[in-house]
Amino acid sequence: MPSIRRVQVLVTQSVKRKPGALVGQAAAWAVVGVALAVPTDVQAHADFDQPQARRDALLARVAAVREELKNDYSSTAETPLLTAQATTWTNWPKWSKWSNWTNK
Amino acid sequence: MEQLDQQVKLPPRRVVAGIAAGEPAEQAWRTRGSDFPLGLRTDLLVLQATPFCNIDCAYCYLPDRQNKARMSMATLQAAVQGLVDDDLLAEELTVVWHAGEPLVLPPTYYEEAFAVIAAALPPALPVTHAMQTNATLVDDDWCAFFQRHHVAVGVSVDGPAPLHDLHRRTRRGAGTHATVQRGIDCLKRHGIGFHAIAVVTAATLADPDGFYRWFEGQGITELGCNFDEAEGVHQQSSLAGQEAAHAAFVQRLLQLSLRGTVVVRELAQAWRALTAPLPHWQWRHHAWPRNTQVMPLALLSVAHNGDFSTFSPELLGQPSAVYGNFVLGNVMRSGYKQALQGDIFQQLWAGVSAGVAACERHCAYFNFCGGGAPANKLYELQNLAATETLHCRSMVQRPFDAVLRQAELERGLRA
Repeated sequence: MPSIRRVQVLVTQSVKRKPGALVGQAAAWAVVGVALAVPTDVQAHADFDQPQARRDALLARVAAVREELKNDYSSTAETPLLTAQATTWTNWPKWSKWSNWTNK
Repeated sequence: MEQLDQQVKLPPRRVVAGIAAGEPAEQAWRTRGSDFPLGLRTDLLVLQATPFCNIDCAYCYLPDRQNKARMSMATLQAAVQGLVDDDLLAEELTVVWHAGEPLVLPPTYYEEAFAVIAAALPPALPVTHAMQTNATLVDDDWCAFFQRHHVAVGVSVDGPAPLHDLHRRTRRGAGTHATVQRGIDCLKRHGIGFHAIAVVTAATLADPDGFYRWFEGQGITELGCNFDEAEGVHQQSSLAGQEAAHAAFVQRLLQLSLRGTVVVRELAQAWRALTAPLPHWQWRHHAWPRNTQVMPLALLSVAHNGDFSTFSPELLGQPSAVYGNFVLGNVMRSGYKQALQGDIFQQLWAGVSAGVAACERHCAYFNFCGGGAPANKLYELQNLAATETLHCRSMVQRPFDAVLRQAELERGLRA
């Protein structure tokens, strides 16, 4: 789905090419109408293609997880599996030497 | 944190080949390496005792693996002394014997080599020797050597025999799994702990359970997955076009490792990146997440003939007219820091640092990676300044996505 901004540009270009073509203008504005009718979350998804938006979304998810990880579940019977298992992953000094390089 | 930026003195601008004069100020990081301050440190030294390998894996990136030359002790001494003379030693040093099968040379070679290295380095410096081997030559003598010197052993094995023998073959085309198994059994008999590194190809993706269970059945607890990558003479990854299957494989591997005994390196690294920020390093007042493949001299590779390079170890010895075969110098003739003044390094650094900057601008995962792998950018996209590669997606992004998603599910952040 194109963004509203993109549709606006297309309409402007269309009108400039054929200023007298009322049919063309009507059709173009119909497209704008459809675009405006698209729910805002779908519009947001179009913006999501932007690198900064993707990064912000990922960072927000990571921040939320890090915040949650401050809660200690170790004394309960419901210790999250990943947290419990990955505790040993963190204490794995060997791989720190090899970080970012993976030799065959 | 490494403060590479302390006391930076900008040198006179000098235009290197391929970079136009009058470049904008924000491109100033492309200038000479002489403005690298003395804060550079090396903590990983990759030594190629010999380029020769006794087997002939289909996906190997090494172009010269029939060459039986070996590194002389004089070359080795110069390689290590260079670290001392240039004040490059970090608080500890890992020496990896790699880029050829290290065990084709006898233990006596390494007895002498280890003594040469120990004599050249400060006595108090912690040094770990690591060997990545195909294990076909492991025997009682080698095991005694590993134990005597506390060598960190890594075995290259791709899992069950049908998978392994698809690609890891002798020069006559025979599978090597049975021989590798004998080597693994010998290591276990001597009580020598080791990790495994498997190359995951398209054929592996169909049966993650069988793959994982094989390592579990061997009692192996540490597994690195090298997802098949296009590098050097191996120009096409079998995973190209298999990305959905790869994502499913990683997801299943996570589920298996959450309940199993084998820790998968890529998932462990993703967990570490998820739970704590990467340490940063600085250059010209700009902080980047630490990634040894893009940090000058953090990782040094020295070939059997003394040629040396930095950044991705896979680059050294690869033919390249543009980058002078990635050889920055030779330990018998030049120092490491001196090599930063050369045009080859300048060309490389211009590309590598532009690539990191591009990753920083365009990649959502930059904070958890630090700029990717130069070798993969070059071989996949023919451009060191490129950003996302198949290697990025398979080695970093999908493991990270899988671990993040699992953490969200467990913590009620995702339905």
